[in-house]
Amino acid sequence: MSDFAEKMRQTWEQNILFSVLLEFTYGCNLNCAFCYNDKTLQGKTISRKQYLALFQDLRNMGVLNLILSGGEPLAHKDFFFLGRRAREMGFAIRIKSNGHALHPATARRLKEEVDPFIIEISIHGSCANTHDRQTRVQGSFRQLIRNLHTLKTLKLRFQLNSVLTCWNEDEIAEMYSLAEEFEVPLKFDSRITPRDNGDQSPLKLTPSEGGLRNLLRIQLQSARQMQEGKTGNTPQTRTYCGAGASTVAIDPVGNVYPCVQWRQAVGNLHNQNIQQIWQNNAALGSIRKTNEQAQKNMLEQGEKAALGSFCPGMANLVGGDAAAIYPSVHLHSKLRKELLNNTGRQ
Amino acid sequence: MRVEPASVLRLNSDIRHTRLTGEGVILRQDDGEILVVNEVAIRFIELIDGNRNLDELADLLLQEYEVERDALISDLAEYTHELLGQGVLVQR
Repeated sequence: MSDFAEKMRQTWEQNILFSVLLEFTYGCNLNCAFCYNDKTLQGKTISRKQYLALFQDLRNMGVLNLILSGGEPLAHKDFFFLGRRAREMGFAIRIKSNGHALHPATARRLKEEVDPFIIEISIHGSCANTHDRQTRVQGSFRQLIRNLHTLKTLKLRFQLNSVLTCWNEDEIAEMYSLAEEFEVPLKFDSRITPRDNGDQSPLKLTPSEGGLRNLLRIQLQSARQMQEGKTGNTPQTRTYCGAGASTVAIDPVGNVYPCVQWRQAVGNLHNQNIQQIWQNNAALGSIRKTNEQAQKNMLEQGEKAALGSFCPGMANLVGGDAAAIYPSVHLHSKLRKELLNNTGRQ
Repeated sequence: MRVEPASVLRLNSDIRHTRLTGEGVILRQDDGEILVVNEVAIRFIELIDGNRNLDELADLLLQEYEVERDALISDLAEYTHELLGQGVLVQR
């Protein structure tokens, strides 16, 4: 294990806040069919002054990673002001953006003023038909490709993120090829969830079993080529993941969650500062215990623990119990096992 | 590259750092490399402000750690040379 991996293990073990995701706004210049954001969220948005106080608290706590997300974070009226301050305060900034607004002038400004470590850009297909169908904005694919070339020219580090859906599941290989053209990684999320307000409509885009199998097959091949297959050397930790142990997510009205997926608020920045929320918090204590239980439950699964893909936040959404194994974990595990068997590797 | 007591140092603009469980974590944004350094090293990094020279940095460290001045200066010069080579520091 590298020194840094050991450090990350310690953050989980000792509940040291290291990464914070800020949902600046749910406003967006696209209108993705499967978006999980609750655009009807009520409450008083966090002010500039509150964000600056939060940044100071986070630096005092030793937080290094600040993830600026949304919605589309660039749609926040104070995005550049806050991004600039975050940079001045020494955060390693990661931006999750749909890339639609990253035309040359904005991209240049982003590099000069915010200097992010990386921008994670969403892509929804390998062609305009699919991408634009999902974003529900005509021309968004063409705009995105143009902007990716700009980022490349400006030497802004980026990666591509995609959500696997039944609309793009036949384009997985082409999407990987597109990422290769830009010489950047492409990461797929195969989990589609209901909206945070309970709206189930995004689930209509859930990928088929065949689509999921196809994704896992390509990922397995890629892992082999890179000789990065799971080896069992991953250190065992007390909790299943860093949710509530080393990370939190904060929504536009100040609700603090263990992570972006696990939408169980443990406090609100209008009532307490982040240090108060992080320490001696019964709700967070309960989250951490649940996360430990999730780890135990997954370990009891044996091989499935290594082959499956579990997320406590997803478990909480699916069945209201963040430690309970949910059906798609079994499906992932089954498909991975089949693929490994078919290629003669256990 | 010679490192003198009068050398003024600054962090490279792509460097981000923090303290974590008694050690320092340094991220070099340009290539994504992460370095884990000991407590004195991260304190040294924290004290670098682009104005102080090595001699002044040593004085500040001497107020916090019980070490011999000459030995500290020598160690800092060697470490600074290493950090310059790694692109963490820039000599002004």
